[in-house]
Amino acid sequence: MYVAGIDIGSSSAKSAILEDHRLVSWSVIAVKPDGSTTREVMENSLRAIGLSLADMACIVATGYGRELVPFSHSSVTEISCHARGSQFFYPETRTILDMGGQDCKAIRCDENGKVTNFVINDKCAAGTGRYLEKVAATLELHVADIGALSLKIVDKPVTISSYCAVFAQNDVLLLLREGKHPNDILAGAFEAIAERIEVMLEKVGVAEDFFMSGGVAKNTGVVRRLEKRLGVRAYLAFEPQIVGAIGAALFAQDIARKRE
Amino acid sequence: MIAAGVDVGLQTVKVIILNNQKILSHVVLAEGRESAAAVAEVAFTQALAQAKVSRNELRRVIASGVGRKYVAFADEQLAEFICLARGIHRVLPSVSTVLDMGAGKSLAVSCRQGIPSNVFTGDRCAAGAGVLLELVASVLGISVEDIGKLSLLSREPVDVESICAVFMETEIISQIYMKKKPSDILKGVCQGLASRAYALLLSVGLAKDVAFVGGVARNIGVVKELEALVGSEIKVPENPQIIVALGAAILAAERGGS
Repeated sequence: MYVAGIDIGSSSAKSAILEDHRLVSWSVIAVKPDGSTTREVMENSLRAIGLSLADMACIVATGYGRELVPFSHSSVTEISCHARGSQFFYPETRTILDMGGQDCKAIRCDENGKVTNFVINDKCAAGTGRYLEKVAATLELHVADIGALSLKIVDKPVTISSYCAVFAQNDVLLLLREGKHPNDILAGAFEAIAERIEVMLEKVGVAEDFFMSGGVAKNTGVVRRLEKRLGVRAYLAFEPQIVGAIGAALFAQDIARKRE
Repeated sequence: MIAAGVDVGLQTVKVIILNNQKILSHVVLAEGRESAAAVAEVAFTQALAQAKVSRNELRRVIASGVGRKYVAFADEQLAEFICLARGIHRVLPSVSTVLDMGAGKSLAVSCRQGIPSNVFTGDRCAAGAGVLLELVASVLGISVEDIGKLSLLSREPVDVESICAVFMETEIISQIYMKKKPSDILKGVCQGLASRAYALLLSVGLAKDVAFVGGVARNIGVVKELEALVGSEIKVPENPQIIVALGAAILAAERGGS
């Protein structure tokens, strides 16, 4: 039985197809303003395994744009989908930190992936992909590279006091002018982010078996600094961005099985 | 006694040269891509030239503002709130609460007779400072100076939901896409800034007369919205950007030579 999950975020759209317990196809693409993204991300996953929408027993949508998926059968909140999705990769997960393009969520769940507590920051760009994009752009680097670079300190990490994405950009420029090395500046920027995230996590409490998801989880600079601050190891999926879509697919599986 | 005050803000350097009570010159210079230290030096040189005063005639120079440590020629550095209280007292002696909103920061000070009694600083958040107006101006393709006037033309202000400058940019783009009028969007933005300012004033303790200084005080839209929230007139001095530098200069004159 095939089921699909689709996660429409503000910056990127993700899809995942499960065949029974196996992940058989997935796709991550940037959101385009022309409205074509939803179909495209679903079609990418289908095409990769030579299937069509009709082959899906059930499709569940999640994310910011979940109500705008015309071919979905149901929608589930991102919070629930991230909890289920994390346990697909690491069944012991009890705390999830999802750091997306424009928001951050800290989620606690039980052994069944049921959400017991959560806190969300979608009001401030600190700790989100937007912050990383702005810092990378100011340094003229690729977002994909800045994590690793931040761990290769050249002189010593500089202190960036701003968690604000706009002011951080300014701080970065000033530091560059002062002759600081980009790696050291990145180190400072990610330390500021880690501190801010730590504050958010304290509101739900971090149990061991800490899982990170979302695009920002691909930034090893942020991940390592958070691990150090929290004193726990973070588990990650091989592709942190598809956790929500996989959770949605698991909910689709529940629905499809109930029908049978 | 000739003294000078230098205020190094996020985007501009302000210099005032005083002789006793009289302002001999004032300079406001944009930092652009230059280092704050270099711009402070240039602004200082310009102010001296305008005042027809030479460096060694100055008894004392006090630096304030976020970049005060970069002023190599300063004899002393002082926090903004101290200079603000002193500066506002010189131009508007009846003021008990002063709000300073610059490009990169906002703060509110309670004061009497030029002495501060309480201070409250806004979070280091772009949505509560002047940079927000630049981001918005850029998205709408207008100049920052026109925002205030345009906002006054609004009939149906847009309720701006974002409290983050980064997200606000995106929100405004979609509002433009939905054919909302720029004046209505701008009024919404001014209302947002005014709310933040009002919260600061309440935190420090609002007591009349209230003054509004700093670059954002030149925005008539924000001033009007703040007046609506406070429920009474807000006093804006003629050159709202120079108040901290003025206070620094007055304090320099008082503290004399070393």
